[in-house]
Amino acid sequence: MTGGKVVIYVILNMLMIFLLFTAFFAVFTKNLLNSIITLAIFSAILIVIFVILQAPDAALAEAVIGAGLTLTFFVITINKTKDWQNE
Amino acid sequence: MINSISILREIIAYVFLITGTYFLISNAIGMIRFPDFYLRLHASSKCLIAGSISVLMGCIVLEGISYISLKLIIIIIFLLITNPVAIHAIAHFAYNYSIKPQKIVKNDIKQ
Amino acid sequence: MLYLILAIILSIIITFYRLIKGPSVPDRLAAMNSIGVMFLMILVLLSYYFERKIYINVALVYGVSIFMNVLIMVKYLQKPEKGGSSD
Repeated sequence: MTGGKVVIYVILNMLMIFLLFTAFFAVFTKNLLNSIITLAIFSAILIVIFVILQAPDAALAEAVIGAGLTLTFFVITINKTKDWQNE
Repeated sequence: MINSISILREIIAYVFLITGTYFLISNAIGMIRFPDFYLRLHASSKCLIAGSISVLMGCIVLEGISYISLKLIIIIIFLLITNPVAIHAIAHFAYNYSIKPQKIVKNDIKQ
Repeated sequence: MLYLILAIILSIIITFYRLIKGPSVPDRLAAMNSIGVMFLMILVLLSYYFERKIYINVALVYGVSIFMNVLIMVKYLQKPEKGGSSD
């Protein structure tokens, strides 16, 4: 392996560990708003991992669906339930 | 002759890129070191827009005049318009959550 | 180019500390905005590292998605105003 390959390998593994950490925080936190805000960062890390693995079409679909539409639907649903104000 | 111009272009581009990365790191340090919410928002807004625009300017200098640099200029204009709007919206949202600055003297919104 | 990406990932990890420990929800929202723009810079730099400039389209779509996320969260997660007083 040359020098560039090692550094991109380190970046990929660091992002995967960070993805796992973000997912655990999104599941085990108590407040629902924190869970949603962490889920946005989960989608962002997944986009960068898809670009590193040379799949830009999957990254485009993730950027529109994962970081845009799903977050919007979750936020509107939590607003409709009116239960988040009590925490 | 062409070789020296190419080397000069790369030097200018890397100066822009390293300046942008420095601003992004200072954004991160400001996010963890400031005590109050509004101070953190202050550090976040300025350093974020300075770093992002500097990194994109470095990429434009590295690219030259082409169809790709037009897309980068579009990203710069988009960030210049939308980032202050987002920061202002977050500050209004924080006032709605009844977060006040610590050493406030006079509240202009309440009146 | 890759060491700049490594430095930006380091600053993302430092900012993620604020997202875990932030005392209130607007702290986490500001941290989410910062992390989103930093990931956008990483996407642009990765397209220069792989020398495939078509990857900039992913960054362009993701930039719209960050702004939409922040505005939708701010609009739908506000507390209802008491007595209809608008400020």
